[in-house]
Amino acid sequence: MNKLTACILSIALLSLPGCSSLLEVEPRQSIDTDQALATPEGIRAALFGTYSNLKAQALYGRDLLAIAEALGDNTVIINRAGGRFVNEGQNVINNHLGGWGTYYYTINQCNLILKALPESTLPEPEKDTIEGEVKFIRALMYFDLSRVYAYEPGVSVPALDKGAVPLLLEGIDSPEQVAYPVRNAAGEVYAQIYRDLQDATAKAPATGGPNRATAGAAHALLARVALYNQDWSTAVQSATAALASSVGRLAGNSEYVAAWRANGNPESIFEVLFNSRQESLGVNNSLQSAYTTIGSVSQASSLLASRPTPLPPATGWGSVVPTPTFLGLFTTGDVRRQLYQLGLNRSNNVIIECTKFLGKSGTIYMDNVPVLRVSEMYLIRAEAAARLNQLVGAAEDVNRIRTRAGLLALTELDSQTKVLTEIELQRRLELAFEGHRWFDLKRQGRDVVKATGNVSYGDTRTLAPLPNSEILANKNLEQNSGY
Amino acid sequence: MNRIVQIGLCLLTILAGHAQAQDETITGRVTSAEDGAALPGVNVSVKGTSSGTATGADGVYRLNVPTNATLVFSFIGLVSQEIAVGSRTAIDVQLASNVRLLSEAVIIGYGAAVSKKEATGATSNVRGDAITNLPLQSFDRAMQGRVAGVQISSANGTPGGAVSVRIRGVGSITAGTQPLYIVDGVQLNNRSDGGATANTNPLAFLNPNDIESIDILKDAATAAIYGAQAANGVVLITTKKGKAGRTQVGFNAYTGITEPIRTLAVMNTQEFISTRIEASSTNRPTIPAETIRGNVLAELGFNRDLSDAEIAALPTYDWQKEAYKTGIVQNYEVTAQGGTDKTTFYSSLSYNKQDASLINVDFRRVAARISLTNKINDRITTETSLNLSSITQRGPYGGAGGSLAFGAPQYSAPLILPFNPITNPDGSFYGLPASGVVMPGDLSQNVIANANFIKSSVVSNQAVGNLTVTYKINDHLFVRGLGGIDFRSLKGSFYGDPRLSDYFAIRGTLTNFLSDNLNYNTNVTLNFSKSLNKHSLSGLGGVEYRSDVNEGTSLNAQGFPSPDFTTANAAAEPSSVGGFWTGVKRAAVFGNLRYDYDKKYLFSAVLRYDGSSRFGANNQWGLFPSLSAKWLLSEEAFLKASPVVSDLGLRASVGSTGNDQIDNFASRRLYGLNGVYQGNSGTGPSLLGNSNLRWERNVTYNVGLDYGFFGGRIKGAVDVFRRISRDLLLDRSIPATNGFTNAQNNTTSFITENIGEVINEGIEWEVTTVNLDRGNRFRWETSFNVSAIRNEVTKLSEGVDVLPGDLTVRVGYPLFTNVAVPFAGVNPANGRPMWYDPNGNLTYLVRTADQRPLGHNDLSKYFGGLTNTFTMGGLELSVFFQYDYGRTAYNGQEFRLADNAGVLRNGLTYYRDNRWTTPGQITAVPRPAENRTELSGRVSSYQTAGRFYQDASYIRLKQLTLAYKLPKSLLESGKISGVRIYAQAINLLTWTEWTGFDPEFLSLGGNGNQGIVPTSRNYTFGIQVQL
Repeated sequence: MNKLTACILSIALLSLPGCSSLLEVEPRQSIDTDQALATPEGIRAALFGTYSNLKAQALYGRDLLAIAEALGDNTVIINRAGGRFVNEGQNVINNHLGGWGTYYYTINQCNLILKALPESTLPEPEKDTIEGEVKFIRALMYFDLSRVYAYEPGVSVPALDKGAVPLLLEGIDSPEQVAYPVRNAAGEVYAQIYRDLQDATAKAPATGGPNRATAGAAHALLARVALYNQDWSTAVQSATAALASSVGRLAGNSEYVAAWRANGNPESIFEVLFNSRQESLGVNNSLQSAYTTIGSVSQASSLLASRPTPLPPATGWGSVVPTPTFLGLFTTGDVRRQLYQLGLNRSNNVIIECTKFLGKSGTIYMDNVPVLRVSEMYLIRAEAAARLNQLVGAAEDVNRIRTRAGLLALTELDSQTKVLTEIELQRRLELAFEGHRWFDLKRQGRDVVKATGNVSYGDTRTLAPLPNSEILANKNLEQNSGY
Repeated sequence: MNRIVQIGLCLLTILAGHAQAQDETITGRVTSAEDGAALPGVNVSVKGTSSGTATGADGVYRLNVPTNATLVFSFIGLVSQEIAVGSRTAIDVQLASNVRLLSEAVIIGYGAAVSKKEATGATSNVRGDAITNLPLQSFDRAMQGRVAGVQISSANGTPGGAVSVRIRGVGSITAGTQPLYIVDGVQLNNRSDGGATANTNPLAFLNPNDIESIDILKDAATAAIYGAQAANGVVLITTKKGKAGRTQVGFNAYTGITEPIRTLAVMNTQEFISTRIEASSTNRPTIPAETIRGNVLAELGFNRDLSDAEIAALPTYDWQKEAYKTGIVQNYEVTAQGGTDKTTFYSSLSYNKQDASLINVDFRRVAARISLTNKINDRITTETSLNLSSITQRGPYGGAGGSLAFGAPQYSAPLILPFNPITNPDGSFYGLPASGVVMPGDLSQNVIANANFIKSSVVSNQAVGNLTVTYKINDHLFVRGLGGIDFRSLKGSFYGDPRLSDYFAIRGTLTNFLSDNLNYNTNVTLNFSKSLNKHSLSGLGGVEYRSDVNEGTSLNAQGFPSPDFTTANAAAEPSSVGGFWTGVKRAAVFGNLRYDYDKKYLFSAVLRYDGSSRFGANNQWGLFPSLSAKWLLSEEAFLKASPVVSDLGLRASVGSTGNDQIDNFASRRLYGLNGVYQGNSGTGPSLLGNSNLRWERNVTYNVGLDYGFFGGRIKGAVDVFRRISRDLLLDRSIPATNGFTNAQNNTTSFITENIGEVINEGIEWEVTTVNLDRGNRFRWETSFNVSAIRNEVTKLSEGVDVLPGDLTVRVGYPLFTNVAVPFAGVNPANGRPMWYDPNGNLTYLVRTADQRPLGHNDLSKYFGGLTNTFTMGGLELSVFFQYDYGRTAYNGQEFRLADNAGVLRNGLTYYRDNRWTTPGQITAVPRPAENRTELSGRVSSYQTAGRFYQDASYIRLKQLTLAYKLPKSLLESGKISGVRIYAQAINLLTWTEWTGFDPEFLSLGGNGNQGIVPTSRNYTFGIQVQL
């Protein structure tokens, strides 16, 4: 009988491992990496996957705007959302911008698409346009990573500088490729961003914006990157090229407020699209909710007309609001002041809020996010020209923004200092709550002066902390000073 | 499988026939050993022949037998007896029920059982009657404190909620740590689904009262037969089977209440206002006190000129009282069982309902069960059982397992500012958005309204069934085939009522999900046993296959016309849909060989070859052997006659088991879905994969001693074990720069690799003593068990001492080591909190990089239970204590309740009473400060984890039962054969230093005890009637 048992066991032993199909289970909601980019459809889907990351809360979904504003000096935090933004507003250490993983995830997606493109069966023209779009996105990611986590070239604090961010340009999709990179120098990262954007200006499509990357968007981004890099002539050239592209137009004075009430801003050169209801980040994580208690465009206008008693319920948190000082910078007749109005009651606070994001898509808690727009291009060109001492052109551009806002053109902009001061003021007013001010101060090595305590430029709180898990996982990576 | 059938058929041909001669006539009567009643239909046969007969209605039999024959008396459900005829002509026999036998036997897997004496492995047993009628919905929870080496903790206090069962410590870091559950041979899928809506427990499908016995295989000696699924131990559940004889019908009902164990002492309105003024003053030293007072009153929604007398007159509302309430427990069941010698049955139908101590959270189960045993002929027996259950669980807003949702009553009730009323004077809820009234404070939702209006539920319909066919080839050999199915469908629904603040703007939301899990398993075993002189050999060999597929769909829709419409078709806008599919297949061959010499020296060997689709193409198959031996000293001549020692056996085992509880596709390189853009679905890389992935391998060494003294008056076992868990499936964190971490689609950068090692070593002691035995008049029995376990992580990835992403996992420390920047108390000079930097210096700054082990961890050092049972006639009192010692846990709830009005949430009076107020004061509670920080500069929040670690040890009077069995004399008139009345209290008393709701919880999802539904206390009263 033991023989029989042994016999059965040995037969089974021999036969089971041979039945490879016995243990075959194929995943259905994911696919094998090797097949993912093998077809034209696969590459197109991966491209959409890359764009969709821009909507992440940590990126343009909210934080690159709202947290940046909370860190900076335009805003004060009203604690009526259970402490949301309060620590960022007070610049408490470790409360900062983030998104490290999402940036590198997107970069890897770009790298994988770029690797797959040459082999792909896509039509040649489409290969080019996809390459252009992907390089634009990769450049945008490296630029945002750099300004969140590192010093801009030329304004580094040497004692604290641990380098910019690691540059990874090869797609990674197997365990063997896993890399433990060091932080590259800021110059190297910027050089790569330039290369990508130069390729993008050549290859990205001329049309299809602003929700997709275009050649115009690549020029516009290059203009901003050059400005941060104090490369004034490139900034002037690129801003000019961006303005010459057919994507986006300067909204006139009479349509300025309407432009901020429309789902898509006519000024947008590149604008992250939130398309369907399921893409809304909801009350807790949306830009609208961070800035205002008001629920919709129509509610905003009806509140302007009359404020009923009792007020309608607040639908957003409205935590990040303008300081009185900031509101005081607007002068009489400035159409942009109309984008700030008294909100609704939350936590016994009724206060003036920014209404640039109001659920304009028609879905509450969901707005498209302008990343690059025409007004910024004029202001970049003005600033870069002023730095190059081309004061006439600079004055002309900044006055274009002034007059459009309903202000008189300034005639006494006769020194570099005066021009730059006016440009800074107009940048602050024009681009407020779009996440610029914190980075504008940082790229110039300036202190952030605010009621809850100043953040001087030498303070380690200027840079965001790298995720602690990243420091633990990669011994080659140095944490920013002070964390 | 075909091959096995062929072999089986071959075996039929080797059956031998027997010749016989008839010489004498024997007569006699067979009666029940329990009540002396006649047993009809008992099979009486002559051993080694095919001749035999059955007893008549009066239990009498008559049979012609050859000389020197041996008679075999057998009946299903009763212990067979063999009696040598000798020279007798009349033989009366009493047969005992084999329930007793079952409890003394050790189930060792695949239907095989050996007597407790012969078991060579470390096993423990819980008898069904020990857990009968406990108001607990699943048997795992009922086992708590009753088995040495098995630590059971409820994840939270939801009835029928998830339970963690750790057999001999935690042997895995990232893979599963739960044992394999097998009900009547069917391997269950015990994944807890539907967590966001309600906390489900797949083991709740079985009414614990239907359980005959639970056997727990703790070491590799026996568990290795389940190979790659056995590393965390195996729990074998045997359900009740019918007994032949008159059909017995039983009714059982209990009902009672459930209530919160404790609520927290929070500040009243006046205390909150004054503390808030202090906090505000701290951060505004230059502003006049009057101005601050006015500002605080204004921000709280009061007139800024309120006088002190007016403040003193403000009311305080008790939100906890409205959230944590007394609920109802109900259980009703009917059972019927009986049968003939050919067929027996057991059937039951039960209804169970239990409320949590949190309002509108409950559990309702209807369960039906049938078990049939049929003897087709002498050779073929079929057994089948089918369990059907439908469970409806209403869950709290935010989920039961830890919620930080402001709208969740279990989280927010103690935090809402105390001057906010709960209802308006007309009884409607206060502060709903439509009223225009906004509740002051961070928590501006009326959580009691949430609890009443939100409809959150999961319906789990489950069917677990099997068919077993046993074919007896001859006296030494039988083939047994089992097919089992474990099917579960979940219907979840969450309706966010449009009247509530979270859903007002979107006019209501509805999420529905449907998922089902189909798990089927089948195995065929060939079993044998043969004795020759003093040598006995037995064992089994078999093959097995299991497949588990889980799929589901979900939808979300928004925009409901009114709260009366709650179905998806009423929604104005569908918002999203979802779907998933996943599956795993396993296959194995296995065998067990047991040998003993003279019932003194016993040996057992197990070998299993296991394959799983989860593992890398290069390592799909693994081999799991074990060896064990036992020396029964009490059978040796020098002890056999001992009046003291009645049982003494020394056991030793070594063996290997595996763990494959990882994601089904962890070994694969995958591209998954990644958001949508411009109306197009996107994709992105989701997993790096690892084609070399293989089993986690546990090697367990065990030495044990089974003892019994004074004829079993004292008995028990001591076991010492060392469990080395190697090749642990660790997610080796790789830098996010590699592009696999994406918060958007929840991917993180890791490669699952076999790199970790964890050692658990411990000692377990079980003892049962009969302290006093005066027969029926008085009996006092005590059972005690204690386990001590030491856990240590001995290896992580090459050159890595701390698991990136989880600081609690570090080489040289136990798992769940508490890590933080150590708190150094409050600077007596200025009331600011201080911490120790890595050099031991005091600092005001908490740096992430300075986090380090605090010297304690979240694992218990000792745990166990103590039961005392007193019987006096029909009266029985059972007192069960359960204890857990040496665990230091993070009190995340207190983390939120220690702000001292630094934010607009209420907090504990403890922190107010002990706050720093005057220079020189020594205290651990900092001065109140707005936003729990200093005004400016590089500052850290006062609110850091290091302040909130607490000793979570406890001793608890877990169960107190008083039962009375009506004497038979009172029942004679009717047809009632037994009545038992009982009263029970669960969690009656708890001794602990823990200051939260309850020390029994598991930190699932990193929120600690924040927002979990706490454990409750129950009182029940019941009656059991037997017809």
